[in-house]
Amino acid sequence: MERALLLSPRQSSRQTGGEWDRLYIGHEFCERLLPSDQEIESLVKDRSLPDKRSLVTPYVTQAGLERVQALVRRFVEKEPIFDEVIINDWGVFRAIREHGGRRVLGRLLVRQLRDPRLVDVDCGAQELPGLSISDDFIRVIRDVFGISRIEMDTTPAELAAVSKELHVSLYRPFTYVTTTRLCPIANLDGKPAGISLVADRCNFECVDHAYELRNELMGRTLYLYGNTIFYRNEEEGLPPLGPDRLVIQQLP
Amino acid sequence: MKILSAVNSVDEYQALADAGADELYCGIYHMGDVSHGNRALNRREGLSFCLNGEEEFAALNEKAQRDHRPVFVAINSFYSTEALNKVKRQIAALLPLSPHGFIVADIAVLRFIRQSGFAGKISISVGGTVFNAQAARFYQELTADRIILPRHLTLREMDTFADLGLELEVLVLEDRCLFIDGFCNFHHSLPGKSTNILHDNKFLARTIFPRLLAKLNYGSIRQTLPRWLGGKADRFRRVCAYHYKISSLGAAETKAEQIDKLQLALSDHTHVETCGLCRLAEFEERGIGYIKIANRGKLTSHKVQTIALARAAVTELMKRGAPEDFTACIREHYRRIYGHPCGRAHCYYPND
Repeated sequence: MERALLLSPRQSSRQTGGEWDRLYIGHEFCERLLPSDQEIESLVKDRSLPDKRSLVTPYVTQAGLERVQALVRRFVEKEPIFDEVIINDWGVFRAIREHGGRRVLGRLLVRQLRDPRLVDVDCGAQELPGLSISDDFIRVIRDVFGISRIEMDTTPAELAAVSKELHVSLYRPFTYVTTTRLCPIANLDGKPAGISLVADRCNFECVDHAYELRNELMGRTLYLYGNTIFYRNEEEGLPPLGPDRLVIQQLP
Repeated sequence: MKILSAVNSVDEYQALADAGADELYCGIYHMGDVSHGNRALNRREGLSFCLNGEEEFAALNEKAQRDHRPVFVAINSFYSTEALNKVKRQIAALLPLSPHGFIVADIAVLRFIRQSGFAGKISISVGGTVFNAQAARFYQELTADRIILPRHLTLREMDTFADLGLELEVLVLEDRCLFIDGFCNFHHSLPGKSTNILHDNKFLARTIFPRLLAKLNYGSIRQTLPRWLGGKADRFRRVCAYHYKISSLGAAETKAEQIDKLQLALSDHTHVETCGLCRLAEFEERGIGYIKIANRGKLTSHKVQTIALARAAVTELMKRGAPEDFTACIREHYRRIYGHPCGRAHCYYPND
């Protein structure tokens, strides 16, 4: 199985040791954490890191989309540092189709059942946990859109069936639950000014601040990293069949 | 500018029409149908939020068509193969009844509707997560006619959608959530819970539950519940407004007041009485022609009030008076309906 390390460049100081086949650079959830050109160049120069690389892109506003397009034009089309783009926004999917590189459907566009309470609810083994993408959806993305790889973070009963149709990457050790542009961590060090969208008040507090969230109704501990809530999924283990790539997130 | 309201029973149609709703949207529910943890196939469970099968839709749509009032059917979740088969059966049953349009998020559903020969309107739900013009174009190429813009966009960010040749709709009243609908995996109601009887029993679902919800959302119980129940109050809250015990993991130390601020940010921004009506002029400038009230499951009397609030705002807009007079007028209408002044925490567009 291919092993990929997911790095957001602002976290590049974290440990990268280990045997890696591929490097994922970027961010799935926040356009403000898209890497700069200099950050990408710096990571590319690091010979200890693998030379197969995927650019990870988030859901984006128009401004974020323009940044993604610039990165793709330079680092996928002109100086091919990345051979793949991980896509979590249908606008990005459409915008970069002329620029080369494999387009991979990121986990935000692969609708799994991820409510952390579901795994503890007795509602029939055939129901949950599961996948909210249908055979029809798989046919559309594969046959109409030309996608050959999708990304997941839980292991539904249908995984073996899905992996006959598409290549599957599996994220460990975190399943994402939900995300927001009303970032709760942005401006944490500033005055209590109420809610705000990220763009106005963010000082990248998420680089140094991360939190555990506990509520007995959840059944498991949640983790808040920046604008996104996760839970740990290692106890699901690795399925014997299905994914051919493991993506390891390094979060505090 | 057109006003959209939810409708969940044929009995409330006339009241909503008289209050000034230009268009209606609904979900359809089949009792006892369990599918994939999302029983109603449209993100809201039970007869509190949905019409009772295609028969009730037929009765509603007949009235609406007589009045030339469009009705959209929400099939706006994401589906497994099993659930999609149920969706397909529902669509096949609806098409002979000539719905004006469908609200969808799953592209497999969109394609099925068109492949079935439906030539009416298709709206892309907030679940379609259209944050930029290319995403709008993506759905336009799949034959969507209208985009419902996600909640978490500033007015400036909405500039990008002008001149795309698509109808544009925004949520403007009630039920702002902290999290992005199209990417959120919290279920509003879990399968297998004892609330199933609440969803299936027409009297409980349409008489008792909305009253209970009104007390929890707008009444004094909302303030007193935490005092009575302490940590157990979350059992009566939306999952996205749960309170957490928060502890720091990161490298930087977090002060106690920052933890309090974080708690507030996580639990207190899912407000029911949120409003963006002061921004109607800016919506109009950006070619947004439809404003939606997120009032599914609310009492008919409350739906009527929210429609009346939106109608008052549209009427004031048409007078083309001074902006400050317009804002003052809307805020007074808001205060009369909700019983308190609006504030930043209730604002759909706090950054603008």
